[in-house]
Amino acid sequence: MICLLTTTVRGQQATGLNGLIHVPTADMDTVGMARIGAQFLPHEMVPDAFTLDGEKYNTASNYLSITPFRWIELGYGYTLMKFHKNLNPKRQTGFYAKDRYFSAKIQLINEDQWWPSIAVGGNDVWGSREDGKSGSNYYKNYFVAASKHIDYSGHLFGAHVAYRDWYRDYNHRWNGVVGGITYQPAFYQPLRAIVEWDGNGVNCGVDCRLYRYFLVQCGLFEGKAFTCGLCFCINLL
Amino acid sequence: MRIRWIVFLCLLTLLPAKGRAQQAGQVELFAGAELSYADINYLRLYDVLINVTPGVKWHLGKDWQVAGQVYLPLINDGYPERYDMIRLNMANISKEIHFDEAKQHFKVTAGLFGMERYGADLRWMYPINSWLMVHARLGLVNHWALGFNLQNDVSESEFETSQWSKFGVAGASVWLNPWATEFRVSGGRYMNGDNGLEGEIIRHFNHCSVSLFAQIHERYQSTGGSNDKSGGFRVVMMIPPYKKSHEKVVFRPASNFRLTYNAQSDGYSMKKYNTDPEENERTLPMRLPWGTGNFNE
Repeated sequence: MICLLTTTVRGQQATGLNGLIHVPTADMDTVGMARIGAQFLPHEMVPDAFTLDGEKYNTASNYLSITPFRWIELGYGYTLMKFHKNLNPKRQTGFYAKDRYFSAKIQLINEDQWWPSIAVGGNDVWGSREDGKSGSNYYKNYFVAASKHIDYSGHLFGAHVAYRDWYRDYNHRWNGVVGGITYQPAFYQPLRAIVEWDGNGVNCGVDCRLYRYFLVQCGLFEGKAFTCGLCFCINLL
Repeated sequence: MRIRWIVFLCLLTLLPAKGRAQQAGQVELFAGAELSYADINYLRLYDVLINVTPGVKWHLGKDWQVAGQVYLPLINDGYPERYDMIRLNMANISKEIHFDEAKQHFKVTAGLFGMERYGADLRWMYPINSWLMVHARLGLVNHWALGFNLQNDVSESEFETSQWSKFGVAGASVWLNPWATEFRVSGGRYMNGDNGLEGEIIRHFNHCSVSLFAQIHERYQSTGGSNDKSGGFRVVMMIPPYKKSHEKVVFRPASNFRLTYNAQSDGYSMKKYNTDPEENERTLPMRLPWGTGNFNE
């Protein structure tokens, strides 16, 4: 059973926290783990506020995150935003701004032989007041999640379920009960296959820890849009 | 008033000290990099300024030290034109004074500091026990900047003023050893004459410290700033080699690389000047065996 709990750095590359592809889990990174990384986000995967001249666009996120204690993960990330240069509609377009947000997850119960791990958390948890200059809250959401793993002859299966509540109306399609299953084969445990339901569609993908310091993730969002990410991860302890 | 301050600080440096510093006569030559960035417009993702920061520390013995640092600009994309100049960033002399039995520790520095200031600075640290320390810092500083006349949008008066500004910050630190975690609270009058209060929680790792901080301060109206609260995070990453050398002349990289993210920074409030070219939030400004005990890192 101990080996079930030694999984260290796993997915949700858009925010930098441990998770699936677009769904949070109650799993935590190993204490002391820090990540810096980026993910390509197809336009289907970003909130509808990411539009330029009425069209949604593909973008990318960058993040820094850390697990300072076993029970808490903290992340800072931003999603690139496309604008006309200097907000002049006659000038060229490009990624001239970003939407920044902090993420946090606290594990209330650690997984053991019988109990799943339970965690609460959210993205865009601080800042962006409605009366402020930005008032964006594009990624603001809160969740409670549970995760349980089962080892079957070295093959590791994970079941994850969460209830998620998004703040912005245009993100409500991702509200409600979400979750997924994961599988790590006995012959190569750094590899993990993921299938998830994010409230609006089914996403699938894989992530893999490479050369100790790297984590790569690739997936299909709602079965049609490609997403991928790469992060550098290092244990500071 | 100013004279009295300077005389007081000079007299402190004459007090006796125990030989706990680096080897007398040792010269350390080092170089690092400084990254400044700001997200303030729609012209580029970040305004970026990168300087190479070669420096020197000359340990004179008996806790005296001479320090200097030069800025060699590498990239300036969006910052004022005057930062394109190769310039002297720091040149000062400091003296540590330790009263071990009374647990009173002082550091006096005079000369050119970072953040375009010169003057005199006094630090005091009182480790009450293994988990609680109180500290304070007083300074008397004035502007000092090269190349201000290259920049059209800044009035010369900002840099040509002969007005001295008083700096005074006091606070306390609590060290939680089982979790290698430190809480700091400090407040007072900062470099630009503004008042503020700051709380910070720092998680120390082997060779890295990560902190979250929150600030509350006066509103800075001159640039239309409307925020009086801010917060963010810091990362201090120590760079190997981690042990101090005892060679007479040491060539090494800078001891650390710092990154500060301030969510609502107005570029003015709660600013502090540096008196050491390698100053950071992980290493105490004086060699005290308190907290991480990483003063020799």
